[in-house]
Amino acid sequence: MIIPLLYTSFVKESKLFSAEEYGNLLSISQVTPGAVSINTATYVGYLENGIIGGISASLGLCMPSFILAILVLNFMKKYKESLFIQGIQKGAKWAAFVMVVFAICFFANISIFKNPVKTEDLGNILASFSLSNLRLFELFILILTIVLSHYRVSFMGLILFSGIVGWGYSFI
Amino acid sequence: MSILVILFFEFFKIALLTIGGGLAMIPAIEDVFVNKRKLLKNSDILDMVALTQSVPGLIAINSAVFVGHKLAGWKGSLSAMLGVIFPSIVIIILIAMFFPLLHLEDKHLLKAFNCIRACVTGIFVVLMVKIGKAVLKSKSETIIVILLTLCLLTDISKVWIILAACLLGYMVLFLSEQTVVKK
Repeated sequence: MIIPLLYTSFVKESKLFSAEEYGNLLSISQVTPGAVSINTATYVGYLENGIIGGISASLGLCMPSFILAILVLNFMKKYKESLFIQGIQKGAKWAAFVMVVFAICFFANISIFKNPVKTEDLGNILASFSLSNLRLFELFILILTIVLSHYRVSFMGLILFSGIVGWGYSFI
Repeated sequence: MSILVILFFEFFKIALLTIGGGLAMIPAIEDVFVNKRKLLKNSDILDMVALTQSVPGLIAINSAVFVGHKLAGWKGSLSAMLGVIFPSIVIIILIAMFFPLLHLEDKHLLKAFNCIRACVTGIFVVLMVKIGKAVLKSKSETIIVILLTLCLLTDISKVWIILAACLLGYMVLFLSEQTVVKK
């Protein structure tokens, strides 16, 4: 959500970067650890004003989220007995399920499909599951992950394992 | 160890090992705080996912603030948040200092990242089953959740889906007011 906003303010309005530089900056942010938006902000801040710039840019990006989330949490704690808040929390649990399904679609789209699935029409979705559009090795990793987490392999272990296996596989 | 220190270092580690944004941190948080440290319950993770998606702002920060707040008030939120942004600051500044023109079109690296994303997909599938067991308790709830999930296929923005779910939750609770058990 925040990436197009940063694009508008840095590339279009203040012209700090060209679109290509911004794209390169984004791809670095996406493959380095941590949240993509914080990485981007740190990068921009560093290029503009050194280490201090990097730190202040990422803190500045976080502050609105921080304050807003604290306010919402305090509000919900204060009125947690009310029917309204309890109802919202009930509904929010349903929403959480929907959002996890969304996360699955999001990550599946950028990993196991060669051409991302578009949701516009149903025929397109079914066609995306054809064998030629699937990255079979990634699909194998996905299934292996599900099997391994059944045996209580930790999240960190799974991430490291699949990264190393993928890196090794690329040499074959 | 003080809870504030635990929060900082756990979120530091989580941020260090998640590639691809805040969304990927959710299963990591579940693994660390529910399975390993047993500081949170599964239902807390549900609340966290719902909140991080419905409050404007960054998913990573919202999650950190939620967990910190739950365990140690606003101070907890602050140390969890600093833990999340610390790896970004250090790694990005190092990259920007030494490799300002880094190109990441390396074939091997891309394959590794693709596999990590596939792994994250699998972890989310496991999480979906867990959440499903906790959420889908009655037939009517299952129908509501399936309908809401189908909305993902349309152009309806996620924010509206979340708002609709919250309102539906309130309506369902309002209609069955007598059965509400007060805690």
